[in-house]
This record gives sequence, C-alpha cells and structure tokens, in this order.
Amino acid sequence: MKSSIRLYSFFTVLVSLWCIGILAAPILKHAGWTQSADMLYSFFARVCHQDDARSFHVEGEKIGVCIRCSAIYFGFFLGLITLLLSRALKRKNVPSTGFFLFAVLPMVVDAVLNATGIHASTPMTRVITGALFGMSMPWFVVPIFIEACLQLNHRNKNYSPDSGVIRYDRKTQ
Amino acid sequence: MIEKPSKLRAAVLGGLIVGTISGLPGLNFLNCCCCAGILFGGAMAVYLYRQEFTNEMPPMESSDALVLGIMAGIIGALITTFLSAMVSLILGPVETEMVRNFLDKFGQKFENSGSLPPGTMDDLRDKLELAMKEGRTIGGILRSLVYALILYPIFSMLGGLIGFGIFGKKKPTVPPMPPMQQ
Repeated sequence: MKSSIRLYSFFTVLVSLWCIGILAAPILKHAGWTQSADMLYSFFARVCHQDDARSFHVEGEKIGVCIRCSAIYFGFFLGLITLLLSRALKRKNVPSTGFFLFAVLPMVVDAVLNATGIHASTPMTRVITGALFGMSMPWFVVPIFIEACLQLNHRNKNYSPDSGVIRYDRKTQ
Repeated sequence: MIEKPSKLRAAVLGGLIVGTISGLPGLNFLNCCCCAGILFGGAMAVYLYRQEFTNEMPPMESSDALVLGIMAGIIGALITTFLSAMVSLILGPVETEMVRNFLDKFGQKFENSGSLPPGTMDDLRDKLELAMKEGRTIGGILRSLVYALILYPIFSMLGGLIGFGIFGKKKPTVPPMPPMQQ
C-alpha cells in the first residue's frame, strides 16, 4: 500500500503542477512577467483553443485553457482527492465501461450539439459536463496507472498476472 | 506458454493515428477538446495490441498499456511535428487560404447561430496566421517538437490506460473440444 500511496502522490503532484500552470499564466501576465506567461500560454495552446470569450479570467487576463478544459483539469484534481478519501486505489475498484460512457457522453453531446448549431452550449453546461468527465477519470485511470507502475517495478518478483493483484513479500518492500 | 507479441507494431499504428489527427489541418481541431485525438490514438494502440493476443499467450497487463501509450505518444509527437512542418513548408499559402476559407464559411454561420461568441473568428484567424508563420521557422518547429514530446506521451499514456480499462479485459477462454468418441 505504501508504494501505491507514493505513486498516487507523484500523480497528484503532476496534476497539481498542471493546474497551477493554468492559473499562473494570467497571474504572471498581470504581474508583468510577460515572457513566462507567454511561454505558459504557448504550452497550453497545444491542448486548447484558448478562446478569450470562452475562458475564465483572473486579474482581467484569460486563464491558460478554456472553460471546458479547466473544468476537466480541476475536476480531475478533485476526483483524485475523492479517490484517496474513498480508498479506491486498487485495480478491483475500477468502474465498468458503462461508467466511462456515463462520464464522457454528456460532454460529447454538449460539444456535438454546439458544433452542429442545434443548441449553443453555455458556460454552465461546459463546466458541468467537463467537471463530470474530469472527476470520473481518476477513478478509471489512477488505479490502472498504479498497478502498471507496480508491475513494471516488480516484474521479476512475485507477481501473479492471473489474479490481477500484485503480491510481494515484506522483504521485497 | 508463448511469449507476448511485440508492442512495436501497435505503437507505430497508434502513433500514426495520433500523428495524422494532430498533424493534418482541420483534423487537429479534435485536440482542442482535452487532446481527444491523442487520447484516442493511445487507446487504439492498446486495442490493436489486444487483438494480437491468443489464448496461449499470457494475459495483457496494465503495464503493457502504459508502455504502449507512451510509445505511441512519442511516435505520434515525431510524426505530428514532421507532418505539420511539411504541410507548412509545402502547402503553407494554400493551406492558410483553405483554412481561412473554411473559417469564413462556417465561422460566420456559427457566430450567427450563437454557437460561437462574436469576435471568436477574428481571434482564430490571428492565431492561424501566427501558427503558420511559426511553423515555417526552424526555431518554431523545434519548439513544437519539444512541447509535443512532453504533452503527447502524457495524454497518449492516459488514453492507453483508458483503453486498457475498456478493451483490456481477459478474453473468455474456450475449453478445447473433447475428442469425438465413435
């Protein structure tokens, strides 16, 4: 379990840095650190359209990603915390594929309806559907990530692939 | 027991999917939504790898999905940078005109219907000009490559893990038929 917590912490630190980067871009720009802010904006431009009208603003400047993306990433961070609180870090707790579809479908429907012009998505729909997707993903991804890292670490030790559980002695810990 | 199949074929195919979606103008808009194209490529790499398994092989493990996702991401980043650079260098003016026409044609429609806030199209046009200019310089290409090599393996790995959650379940093993007794 100790290794699981360590891997979980590593994952959480990376996600936190990502979220801090999103918020740091407008703060740095407002503080006059234009070059650093532009670098962050340029980095996040690879994953988001960064449209000013579709972004939250901090200190009068748009944050690093749009509303939907920020809902996904901050939702992911919240999902990570709830995952730890509910002690569901083991692979056996990974939800079914139906759960994944339940999380992703509202966001896809919102985006498709908006793109086809049938229904214009609002900041509220983007936040709700994005956060639902973001908060659900850690439940799906993190236990598999932890198991995968433990497998790589203990590949030649007492690993039993059939059980889907990592077994290792006290000595090997 | 037979050994597991090589990951290289699935990783290259996954990387090709990532690269094609991210490198071709128009298709790369998919990545505007949480890198959907890269996630899809990672998941497809796992799906393709899963297809290579037979009942005699040991089951696919989550670590395979993790490694596959990262491999597909790295290959995808290289393909994307190469494709984008080629498109910018060879088809630069034509591509700019094509995307500008696309934006003019559909952008106005979206703005009128309320799907896009007013002013978005101008913003997109400016970004397009900037991206096209940057895509033609060595510095711009190298910067793109560095960003891609950081981002793509991360998102592709997540796609691979999601793919493992969906496709990675063990195939039901069919017991061999008993010999016919006459």
